Amino acid sequence: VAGRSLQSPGALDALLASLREERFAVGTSEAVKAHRLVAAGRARRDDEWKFALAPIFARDPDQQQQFYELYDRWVGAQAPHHSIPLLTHSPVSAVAAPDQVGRRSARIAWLIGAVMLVALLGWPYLVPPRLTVRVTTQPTTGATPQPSQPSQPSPATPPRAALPERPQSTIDQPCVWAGCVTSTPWGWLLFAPVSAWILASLVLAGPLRRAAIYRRERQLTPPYEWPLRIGVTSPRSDDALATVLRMIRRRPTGDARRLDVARSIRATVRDAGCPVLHFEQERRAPEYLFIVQQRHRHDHFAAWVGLLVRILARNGVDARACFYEDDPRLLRLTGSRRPMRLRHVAEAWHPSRAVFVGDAASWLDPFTARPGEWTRIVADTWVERVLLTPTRDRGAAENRVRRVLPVRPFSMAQLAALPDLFETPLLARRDDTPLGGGLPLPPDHVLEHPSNGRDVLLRAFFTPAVFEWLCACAIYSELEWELTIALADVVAPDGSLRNERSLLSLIRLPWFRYGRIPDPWRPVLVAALPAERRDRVRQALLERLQSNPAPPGTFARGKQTLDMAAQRYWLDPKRLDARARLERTIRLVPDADVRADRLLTETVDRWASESAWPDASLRWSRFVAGGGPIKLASVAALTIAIGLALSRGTEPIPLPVPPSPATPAFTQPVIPDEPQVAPSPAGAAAEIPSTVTREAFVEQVPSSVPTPAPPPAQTPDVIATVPPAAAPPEPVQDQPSPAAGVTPLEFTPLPPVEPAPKVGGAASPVPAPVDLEPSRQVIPFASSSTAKGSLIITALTGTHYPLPNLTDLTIERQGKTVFERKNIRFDRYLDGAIEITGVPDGEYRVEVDPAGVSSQRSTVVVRDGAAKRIDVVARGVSIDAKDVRAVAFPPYDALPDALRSRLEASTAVTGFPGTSGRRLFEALSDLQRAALFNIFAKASQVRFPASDRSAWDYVTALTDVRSDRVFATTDVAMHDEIRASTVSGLVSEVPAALHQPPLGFSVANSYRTREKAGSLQITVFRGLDNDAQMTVDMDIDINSGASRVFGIISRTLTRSIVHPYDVQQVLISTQLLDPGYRLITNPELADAVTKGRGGGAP
Amino acid sequence: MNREYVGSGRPASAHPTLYALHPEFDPPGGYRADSRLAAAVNTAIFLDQPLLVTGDPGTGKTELANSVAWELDLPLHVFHTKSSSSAGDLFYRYDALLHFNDAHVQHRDPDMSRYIRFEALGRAIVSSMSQRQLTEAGVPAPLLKDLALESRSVVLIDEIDKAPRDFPNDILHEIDRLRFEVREADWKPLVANQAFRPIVILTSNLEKALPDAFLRRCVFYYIGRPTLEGLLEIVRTRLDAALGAPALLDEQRKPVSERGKTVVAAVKEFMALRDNDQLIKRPSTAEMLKWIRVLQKQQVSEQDVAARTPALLDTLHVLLKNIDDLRAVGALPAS
Repeated sequence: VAGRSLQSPGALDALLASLREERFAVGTSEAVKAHRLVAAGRARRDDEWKFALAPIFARDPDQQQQFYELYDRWVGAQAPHHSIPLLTHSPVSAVAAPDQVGRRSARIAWLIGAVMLVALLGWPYLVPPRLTVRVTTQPTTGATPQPSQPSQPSPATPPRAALPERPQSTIDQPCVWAGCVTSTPWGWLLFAPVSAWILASLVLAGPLRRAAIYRRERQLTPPYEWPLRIGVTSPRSDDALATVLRMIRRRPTGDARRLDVARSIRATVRDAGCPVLHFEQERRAPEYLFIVQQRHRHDHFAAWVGLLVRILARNGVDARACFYEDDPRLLRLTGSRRPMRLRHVAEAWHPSRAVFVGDAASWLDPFTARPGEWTRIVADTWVERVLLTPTRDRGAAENRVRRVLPVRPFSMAQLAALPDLFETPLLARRDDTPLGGGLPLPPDHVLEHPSNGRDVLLRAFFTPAVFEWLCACAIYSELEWELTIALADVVAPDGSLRNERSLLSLIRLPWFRYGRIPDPWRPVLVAALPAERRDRVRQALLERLQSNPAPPGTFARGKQTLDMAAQRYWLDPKRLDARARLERTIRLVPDADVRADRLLTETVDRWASESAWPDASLRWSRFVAGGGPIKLASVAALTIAIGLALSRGTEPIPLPVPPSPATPAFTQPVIPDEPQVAPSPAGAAAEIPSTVTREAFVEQVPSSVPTPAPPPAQTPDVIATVPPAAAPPEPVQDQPSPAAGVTPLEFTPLPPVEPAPKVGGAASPVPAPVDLEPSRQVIPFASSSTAKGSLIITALTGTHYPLPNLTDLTIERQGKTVFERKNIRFDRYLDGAIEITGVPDGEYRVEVDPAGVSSQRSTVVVRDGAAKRIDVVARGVSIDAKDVRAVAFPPYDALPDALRSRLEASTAVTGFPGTSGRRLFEALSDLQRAALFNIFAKASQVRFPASDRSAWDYVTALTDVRSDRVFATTDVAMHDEIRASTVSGLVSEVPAALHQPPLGFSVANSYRTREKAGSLQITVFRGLDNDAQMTVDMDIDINSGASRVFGIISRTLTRSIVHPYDVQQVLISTQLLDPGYRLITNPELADAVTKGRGGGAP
Repeated sequence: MNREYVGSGRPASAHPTLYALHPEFDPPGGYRADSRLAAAVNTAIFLDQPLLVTGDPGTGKTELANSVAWELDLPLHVFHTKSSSSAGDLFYRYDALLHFNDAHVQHRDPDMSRYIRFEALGRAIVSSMSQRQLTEAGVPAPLLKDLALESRSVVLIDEIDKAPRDFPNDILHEIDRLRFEVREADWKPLVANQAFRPIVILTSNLEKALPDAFLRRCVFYYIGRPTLEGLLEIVRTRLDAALGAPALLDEQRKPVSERGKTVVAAVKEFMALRDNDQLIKRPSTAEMLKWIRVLQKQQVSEQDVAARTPALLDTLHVLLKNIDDLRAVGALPAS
């Protein structure tokens, strides 16, 4: 122990002050004794003072240990101020203070990383950028559409005119960052280690962050909570307490008799010396044992009884209390941490009078509902016994327990009457005393959830002042006995609430017995408190929190700091510094502390919903708060990612060629060859369209994307060029050809999805094939073949996009391989199909073997030179959302009426106040729109059997459109409709635990449709003030069962969402439900779509 | 007296007063008090306040008083509290019936020395007074014959929590001022000489809470349960010599013989029982010492202890006094 010395001036007084704060009994006599001891220098060493002083202040074993700990803390504290310093910024920094070495190394890591990054980012300025121009010749066939001629190809017949051979100019982009850095050996020397380090950091980011959190929390110590110690006295007036004390101290007569000497001598003298002995009945001081039910550590009722027992003991009554939670067989004595059995207590305190306080039900056997076997111990041990219950009404439990225990209501008057009860057995047998009076207790259904009018209903069970007291208690996240009593004075400074009646009516509530007001009730109660009084309560609360600091470096300190920051913010939400402080504190405390406070959670949610990028800043801050190296890794990774995104390597990118009469704008440049693909014959190449006009794209690719009107000023209407077979484009897994494999799904109007066609009695997962598209690859079966037959092989993903994997294709006939191609790409063309021409008649066995996916074999017979089609759907291969370059949505005018009307009715969508209709639709981000389309499609599909209305039909307006869910106001009849649908099996009821209601609403219930993938969950919220208000939260889950659970866990940990693009693909692949928009991964097509949108037409 | 209590077990002089006065007294030479306890004793001595020592049975509370008296070379007066004890019993006892009989039947002169007998605290207060003070107070000489006057002494009031609630409340004033009156005799109040105020040690098993007012006038110390090292030290100092050769434990409390190994295993077994919350009455240190003596006598081996053979189970009656506890540990067949 090093630090302060007791013999320094004022040190002992400081220690005494700390002891008083810790509730040690430090009176004048104790202070004098301590000063005498210190002045005499009774300890040889500094650390001996602890042992020398403890005997003066400790009254029991726990206090002795507490004194040792407090003394060590006090001596070890470096602060000159005597009391434990308040935490001014964060609990973490207070904890991490000793870890100076770790901080230094973190700073050094930061410094090195920053220098390296600066060097890396500044490299282009150090090394002059190079600029190279490369001219290549790309053989193409056909004629190029003249830019001067407005291209107006028919949607049904995309232009197939071959492009003339023309020079293609490409230019290496003026050396962008990463390219410059890696263009010299020195750059590599810098780039390689930094990249490796960043890569390693990214890989280790998660474990490092977890380790950092664990390390930080490991340094925190209990206690986990720090009850506010305010120092309340009994809430009962002194007169009543005095009466109780006077009555309860009354000495009963004992069994023993003792010789009364004086009386004997007097009697002997009176009888002339004849000995006459007189004995007196011994009177003994009564001993009381209170066995109190304590349902929770913040059980106010038990706390009150405990306080009364302490007051009795302090005033000379031999009274002590022991507590039990649910089972009275296991007890805990006041001041002792060790549990005791009822039998032990009975053996140790059998001469006492036993006063049981609690619910009668706790003395019943839970199985037989009769007095438990353990009540025999009570009956055999304590002749003088009684059960005092807070229950107002005498029920079955009380009537059953009365066989063993007389039941009385708990009140001060009843306490004062205890001696009479015990000394008059007749009274004890008469247990028809009415139980507690006053207002009845609110029934469970009133306490369960606040709803329309129910706060008013609750109000009816209290006097106005007590209800206000109740509302004041809701401001703090926990109900603590001393705080509750202190708040009585804040609400009613005249002390009118400090009476037994008010207190009992409050603490009999189950909330006060379990130490917590239910989450849904807190906002309602807080809102019910007048603003001025609310602020006064918050101010008082802040003062109490400040004057009761939890020890630094403890879990409780963090929670306390959070509470203080939150109360300060709520006092004046407009103060930016208060909000900043609260945000900072939220980042530093464990999530559980934040989630424990409903009001705080709502505040954070509101911030997130107000943010344009919900929750992003908080999430980023939390990530960055993980630790020094991780911060560096985060920043570096972001920088590198941006750099790489900007540079995209040193690959040549097209140099925009100025529009000329011979070259259309947006012409696709050189695309590298794919050697494995057999060169197409000239004739075949002539069949392949080299360009796709906007109309063709709209018609071919996203079947639902409406045909836009061509911009009048834009003459060349070619938006993308599909390269010829000889020079196929860079593989794109896009695209957009769900039309190739899916039953055409018209978007306008969105039709109900028909069940999949039945094949052999079972639903076929593969939709019916559509007509062949002309843009497929054509490969001759054999160069010498003159046969007419052909095989058309289509390979699609589960979502009916062309299969992006490299695929081997083998055709066997009579056990011999007659055709073999390796690494074919099915996604080179829009329909994802290849055609093998010149196939002679016969029976063939075709094996399609995509990389990474299991192979599939089919047998097909070619007869009479006919074309035979083979469709292969590779499950599990879908488009990764991050590869999506753009999304093609239908224009607003083409939206179904059901969607458009809701958009027009939505004027208060979060983040878009006052915006509705077309403006709202255009203001939504791609993700939000995608989510909206998904949910609209799905909700339109879910039809309730009773009314044959879809779930979407009940939506009246949107209130919040997020990337994974949509909040909307609905007709109240929807809830009944959904509930009724649980019977028919359309939906089932599911927990709504993870769904947070919007402000002013509470969760009513949650339902989910029964699909294994792509199920719609509808969570219904009811208005707190108005039952007629209803809001639903609709979202779609792509998993079910265990995978759904893991998905939720994963998303909770990574704070991610169900991506709407994934949802779209799931809906298409599993339910043949097309939400009506297309994902574009082909950069050129994406560019065209984006430009089209920017130009005012999608 | 400026000497401090160290708790080393070494007496201050070659012929301690205690031993001289009570040759039958078992010198607590093996008693070792840790520095915390010693500090508490010294605080009590310095402040002239009673020391209230609490702790589980068998943790050496009573022995402490012996040790203090032994080390500081002071006489020890012991008062064993009973459930019928009253405050007056702490100072003296008056034989009313004998007095009555003498006065009535034998017509003797009322020599109060026949009917008054000083009790522990009374003896300590009286012995702190000088002959002159006692004479002036009127105390008859026969009552003083066994007392060394003008000397300090140690008073042990054992198991004060056994007394009725009135007992500690009634002795508040007397404990504070160390003064009492003999109501039956026409004596002046007897007040302890300030220079020779007795050292009062009270013990409690914490069976009952003591009044706050009483606690305020005391210095408090709780003796925790001894650790394994502490128990072995107790065994070494208390039993090693008593059990004779070969020795059990060396200075470092390591077993030096097979018997020593048995003792170490037994102590561990005892600790397991002592810390077993399921037992109704858990054994105390004193019972452990007796049990180890029994084990040695029965020649129970280390293996017996480890394997809980019948040889060991048969001896557990020394430790466990409740039939349910004996059943719980297998010493008795389950009912």
